[in-house]
Amino acid sequence: MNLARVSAILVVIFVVVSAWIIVTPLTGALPEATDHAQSIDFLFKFMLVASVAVFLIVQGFLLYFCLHYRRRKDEPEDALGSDIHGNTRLEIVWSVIPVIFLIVLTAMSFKVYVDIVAIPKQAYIINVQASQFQWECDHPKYGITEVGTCHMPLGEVTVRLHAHDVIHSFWVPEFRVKQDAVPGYPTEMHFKTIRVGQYRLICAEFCGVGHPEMYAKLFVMSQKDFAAWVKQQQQANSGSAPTTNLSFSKDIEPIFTAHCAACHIATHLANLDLGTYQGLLKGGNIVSGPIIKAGNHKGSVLWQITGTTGPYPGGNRMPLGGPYLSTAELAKITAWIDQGAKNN
Amino acid sequence: MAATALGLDSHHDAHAQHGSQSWVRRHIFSTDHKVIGINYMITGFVFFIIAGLLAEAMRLNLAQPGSKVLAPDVFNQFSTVHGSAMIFLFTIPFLVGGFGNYLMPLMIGAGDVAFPRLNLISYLLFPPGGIIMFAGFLFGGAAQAGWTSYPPISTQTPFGLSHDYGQICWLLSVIVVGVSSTITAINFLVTMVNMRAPGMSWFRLPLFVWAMLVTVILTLVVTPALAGGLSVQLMQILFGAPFFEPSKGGNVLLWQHMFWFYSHPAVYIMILPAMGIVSEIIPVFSRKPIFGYKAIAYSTMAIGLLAFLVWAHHMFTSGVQPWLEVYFMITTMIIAVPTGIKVFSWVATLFEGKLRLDAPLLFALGFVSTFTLGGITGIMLASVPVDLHEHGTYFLVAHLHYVLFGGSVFGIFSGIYMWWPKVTGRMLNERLSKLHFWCMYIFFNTTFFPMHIVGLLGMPRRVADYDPQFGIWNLFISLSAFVLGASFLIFMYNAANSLVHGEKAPPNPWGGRTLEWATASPPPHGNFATVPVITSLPYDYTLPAPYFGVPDDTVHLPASPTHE
Repeated sequence: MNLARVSAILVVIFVVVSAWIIVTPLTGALPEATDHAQSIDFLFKFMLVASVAVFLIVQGFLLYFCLHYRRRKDEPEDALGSDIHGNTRLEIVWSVIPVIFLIVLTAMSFKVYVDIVAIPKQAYIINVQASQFQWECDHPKYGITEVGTCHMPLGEVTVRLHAHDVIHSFWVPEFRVKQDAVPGYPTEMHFKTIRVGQYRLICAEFCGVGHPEMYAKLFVMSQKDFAAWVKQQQQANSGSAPTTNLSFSKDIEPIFTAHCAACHIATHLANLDLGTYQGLLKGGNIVSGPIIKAGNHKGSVLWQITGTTGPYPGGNRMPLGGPYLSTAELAKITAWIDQGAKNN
Repeated sequence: MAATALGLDSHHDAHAQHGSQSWVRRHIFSTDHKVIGINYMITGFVFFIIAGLLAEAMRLNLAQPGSKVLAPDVFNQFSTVHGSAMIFLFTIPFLVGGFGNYLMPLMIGAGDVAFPRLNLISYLLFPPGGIIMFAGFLFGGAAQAGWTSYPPISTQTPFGLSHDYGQICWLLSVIVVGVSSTITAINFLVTMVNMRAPGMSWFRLPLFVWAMLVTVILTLVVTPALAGGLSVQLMQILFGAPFFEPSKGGNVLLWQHMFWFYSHPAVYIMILPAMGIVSEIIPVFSRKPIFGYKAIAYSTMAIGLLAFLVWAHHMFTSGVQPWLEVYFMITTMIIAVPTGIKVFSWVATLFEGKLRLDAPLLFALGFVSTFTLGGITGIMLASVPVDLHEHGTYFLVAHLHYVLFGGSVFGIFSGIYMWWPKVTGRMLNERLSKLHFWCMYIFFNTTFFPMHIVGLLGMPRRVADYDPQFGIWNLFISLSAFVLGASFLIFMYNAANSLVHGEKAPPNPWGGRTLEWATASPPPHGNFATVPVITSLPYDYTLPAPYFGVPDDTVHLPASPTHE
């Protein structure tokens, strides 16, 4: 075998593998649910084909040289190889060809990237609030808030990301794009959803003990289904909105029993007792003073430490490590404080 | 540390005055660059074993979805300490502190480094620095914010703990180790500039020394940036300084810039010396000159320069301005060119050689093979749009391990097999060495290659649990990882056996032409009885020895018949 024959074999393998890569749809394993997914997959396939070429050249010749130029048993121990120090022409070739390839690749990537960061004229806006360890999606257009799920219509969508504690990252593998949610630094992502379905919204930036469990069900719906969903949500919300007078014993205490009992009723961690109304007025020893301010929910430690926006006195959102209070439960606490935080 | 246990009996025989000192003085508090180099390697190897066991524990937990072998916070501690220890306590100290200390002065024909006592200080800082990192486990839990330690997760007190002692330990540890490597860098730079043997012009430097030169310059420039970032984060945790606290006017992305301004060049600090080792081994075992000496030397410098200009490619999803991301994409693409030149030159060196496929060459070729794949996935990740999908997934875990395990660790082991006879004065069992190579090469690939696929399919990294659809992949990866881990037992047995029963090594068992082969195995204190004078590059096998002035009884060139 000589170099020409080895090269010919490698070219044949390259053509076969490349053809296979090009015709195999990636969508079989992971559907393309946005317009970006299609262009990114194309870019990825292009790079994969080029990578196969580089890989075959290096590994193929490495293996061939190892087998062909190994010292045979009958050759002397100190036999020398050819006295070759270099080859300027060859070195120029293998410097210039990668340069050309990388220029092409950079230009293609640039073109796709310009499209990814372009801000669409009209898009459905979703405000995503990321916190340890849950996704909350607000639909400002309809005043709907959902926790643990995220619904969006087909078409242009803008996701505005807010992080409340640490960095999180919004990733739906089928969308092929991700964007970090950074505390104190709102970020945005734009895409056009093109495929109806249910997906997993995953946190792709390490965010603490609950990181593996931080995901939400994400639904891409047709315009008609989405409109129906919005209507249903609005009806449900209007039914449960706390308009009537709330009672401490009937409405608030059950929340404490359900979410806070292990640390603040059974044991009085941080010296805080949530078992009685007096305990709320006494407060704890990490954050001192009453944890409720009648009529002022924003000034109440109880509201601050359990809510989605913070600040979190003492450093951590409660209940520690989640799951956090639902939107309905938080609404009850807000209303009860604003109604005077009475011991009724 | 225990150089006598390593079989370095002849070490003090050659130097009578040295022999009158106590064991501790000679083997722990010695200022001899060779003893310090060995100590770095032994200490680094201990940390390598511990960090490797942490990885095996994580793989045990990940073998099945929903497994509860490790609690989630313990898993996070293990992954943080595994990554940090492998990088800060094994790869960098082993390559720079270990190989750099042992080989660089020998290769340039110097008797020692420029500041031997400073060298001792930098070693003595290293074991305490490492122990501080692991000490976190004793104070309620080690650091659990990942080796990148991004605030606010790193400045947040972990759930269930009242203090963040683990993170404080981590920060102190990396600061101490960073001071140690900065001292080493200054020392090496002065040594290489001032103490080269007569006749050793810049373009007669062995390629390993070239790699070391660029490595220490990188270390000098970037380590202070990391030290600044670490100190500031420490101040935030201890005194509430709000550098990374957005509600008080701080910026969390500031840390990412400071961290990656160090940690990207750190990748080159970990790979350039390994490339240098490979560049030394391939010509010796091919019995012909390195292909394109100047091209490899210049590409080392080019990589060193570009290393400063690419750091934010780790932050493509962080919310950096788009025009900045395009800039970092372009610089990152450029760095593939000098890297490619090196890889092609190594392969071309094999052409028309008389290859002796011994363990050092096998590991070096393993390096070329696996590192090439890591380089290719690196180009994929450099493209911003593709990175938006692949970032933060197991694809990245695979890429990183192909570069740092397939690259640096294979490079380290090729170096160990190459210079073991020189350092210990004894030969290793060739058959066991080859067995180690094949186990490591095969199971390295079966462990890390499937990670590309699960990553592309949607498995995020740094998770203690995952979607059950990835179960079968992870089981396969875990089983491969256990065999990969076990392959190091072959090496440890081989090493122990060699120290006790190994055949005595001649000064130049492989027929190398760099200066370390022109002195005894192990070399005496002071290295050379007379100062060698350099006459040409060390890669021209048809010429006589590239130096003179070394006593004849230690020179066995061009190739020694004592091999095997």
